Amino acid sequence: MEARSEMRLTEPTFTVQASTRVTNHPMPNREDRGDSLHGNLEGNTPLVRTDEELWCAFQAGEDVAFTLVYQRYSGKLYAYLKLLIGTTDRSQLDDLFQEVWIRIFKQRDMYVVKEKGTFAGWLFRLAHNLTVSALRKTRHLSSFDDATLDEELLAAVRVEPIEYGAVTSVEELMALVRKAVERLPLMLREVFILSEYDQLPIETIADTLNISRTNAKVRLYRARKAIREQLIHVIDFQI
Amino acid sequence: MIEHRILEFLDGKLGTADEEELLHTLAVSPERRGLLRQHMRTRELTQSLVHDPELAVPCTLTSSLFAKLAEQGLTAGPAGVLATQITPITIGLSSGVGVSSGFVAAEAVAPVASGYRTASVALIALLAFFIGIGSFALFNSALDHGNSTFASSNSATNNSASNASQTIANAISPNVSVATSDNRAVHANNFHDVMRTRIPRDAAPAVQGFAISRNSAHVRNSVGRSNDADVSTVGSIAEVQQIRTSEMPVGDFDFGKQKDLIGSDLIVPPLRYDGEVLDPNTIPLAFSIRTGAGPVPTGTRLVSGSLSEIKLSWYATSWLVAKVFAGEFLPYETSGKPLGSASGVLTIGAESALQFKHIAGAELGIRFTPFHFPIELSGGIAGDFAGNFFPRAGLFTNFSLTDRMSVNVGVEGMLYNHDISPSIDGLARYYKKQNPAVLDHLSSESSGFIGPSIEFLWHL
Repeated sequence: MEARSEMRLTEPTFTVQASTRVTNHPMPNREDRGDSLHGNLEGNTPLVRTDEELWCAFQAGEDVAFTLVYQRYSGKLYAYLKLLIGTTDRSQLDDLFQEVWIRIFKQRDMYVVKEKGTFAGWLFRLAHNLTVSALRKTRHLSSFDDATLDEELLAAVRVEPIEYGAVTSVEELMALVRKAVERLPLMLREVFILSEYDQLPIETIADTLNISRTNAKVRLYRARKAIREQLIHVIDFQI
Repeated sequence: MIEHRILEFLDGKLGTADEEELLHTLAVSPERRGLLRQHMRTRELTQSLVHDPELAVPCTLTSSLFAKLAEQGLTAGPAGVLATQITPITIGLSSGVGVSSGFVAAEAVAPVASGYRTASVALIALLAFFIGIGSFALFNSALDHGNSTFASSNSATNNSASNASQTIANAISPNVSVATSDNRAVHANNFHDVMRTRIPRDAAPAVQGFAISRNSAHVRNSVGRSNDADVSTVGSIAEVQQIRTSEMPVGDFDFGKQKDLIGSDLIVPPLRYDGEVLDPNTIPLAFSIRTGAGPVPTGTRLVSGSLSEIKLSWYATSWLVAKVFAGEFLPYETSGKPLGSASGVLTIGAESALQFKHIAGAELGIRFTPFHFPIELSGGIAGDFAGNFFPRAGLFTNFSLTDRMSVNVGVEGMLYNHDISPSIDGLARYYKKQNPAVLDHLSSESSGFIGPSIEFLWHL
């Protein structure tokens, strides 16, 4: 297991099906991406380039394409890492975030669109590998990266409803939702974040985590169910 | 199992048969409908995390990362990303007073590629000009049957199919000048001069010393678009066609005595301007309203500026006109604006916004008539009372609507170079403590407009 993880760190596997471009991004949306106007300033076509097209442009030497990719995925990646490893260790979070971007910057040529699938899958796979490696060092994880679903562990998922007082603001409501996500076991939490927050399709999630599609679907189902049960008292709350 | 089906249903991945079965189940089970509502609300709450500021990338983290990436050889900074966040403003321009209603500009709903922009500007210019030429031909022809104007002696005398008025025109020396009974000169050498050479309604004009009745103040256009047969159908001037050069007593032709013959539609000879006989009492002035709108060749909008103004024109000679004007100039200008970012860097970006400038200035116009079409080339300069000056130039043709009113139609441009950097630098200084990323490649731009323009003139 260790050897496999280490190999992924430097040589990510690319088994994602091609051209499953993520749509319906939660953030930033199509307009906010900004690069639609890039062509504007440059006098080029105003069409939005896909992630893969941008990365190919970066590989060809267009450095600004990298910053455009960063613009698209920095928020998603940061939220993924923060919800995954928690907020207690800010320095670890920042180091991990920067390490991911530096890695993909250095390993830009390792990504080949037709062979390696979506850019998002490649990015989050690298992030996943780095996160697993970091968490293993600090928390002595054993089953986090298991390809098989540990039913016993899942059965032990704590689904107690979150207790709260009076919620008076959107910020408090968001904090409760964040808390519910952070209470999920890592194996469920990661799938949940990639699906609900980063809007990755289940196929990409499965390939990113190197698990079967069925396994990914089951984890997602369990996570959603657990979140609902935790937020049962908050669900009908309106701000 | 039902919960799994509900989640698949919300994902849109449930088959038709399963969906029907689920909906039927939900319809008969309030508890299961409650479960559906809980999942819908949960999904709504979890997706609200997208807007959670706690999950946004800190500014310092992005700055630190790009500093490290720069050491690795990355040449583009975060500002390069955010430079593309300039938000286009889509404001429909509606310029000027009543006459400008036709110039409600279309919203720029999409960026326009540079090639298309240049082509569209050229097309607009050509189109406007040819619309003007067409309008001239159309209205001028119509005036043969209605409004009173003078006509071009050149046109008239060159037209073999001359009508009665041409006949009269040919009979009289092309150098003739016309003066009213109160010694106010009337001049015209072509249609273009009509607006400054009409006979006052309150004065009985005279031609070469012969009095013309007050009723003859209405004069008929005789550019020569009608032949004899056409003129015969015009009605009140039907009898005029009987006048032939050979029949007309050139030396003692008394227009006043022909009143019964030609009534209020008396044809007066087409007149030729002779500067030396210009009477100082003539008032060759015109008040006008002009409006125009259009894009900038290098801009990104279909319409990026407009100009509405009032003018006072002085027709110094038959070919030179001097004008002073005042009005409102509405160009788009880009200026600095602080931009937020999900990537956590405060960026001083830029945003295009409509500007309101009160302007005044002067221009000169040169008028000539190639191929029987009146053309006016004009150029001038305007100031905005803030030390800024804007050059302008235009190409127009014209036609008459009434004996007191004419229209200039053409294409006009008013372009200037706008310096963006001062506003960006100012914001950078203001937000200095936040160490903002500042755009460095937006320093100047072309602003203003090139587009169709229309001017309505009332002649004094």
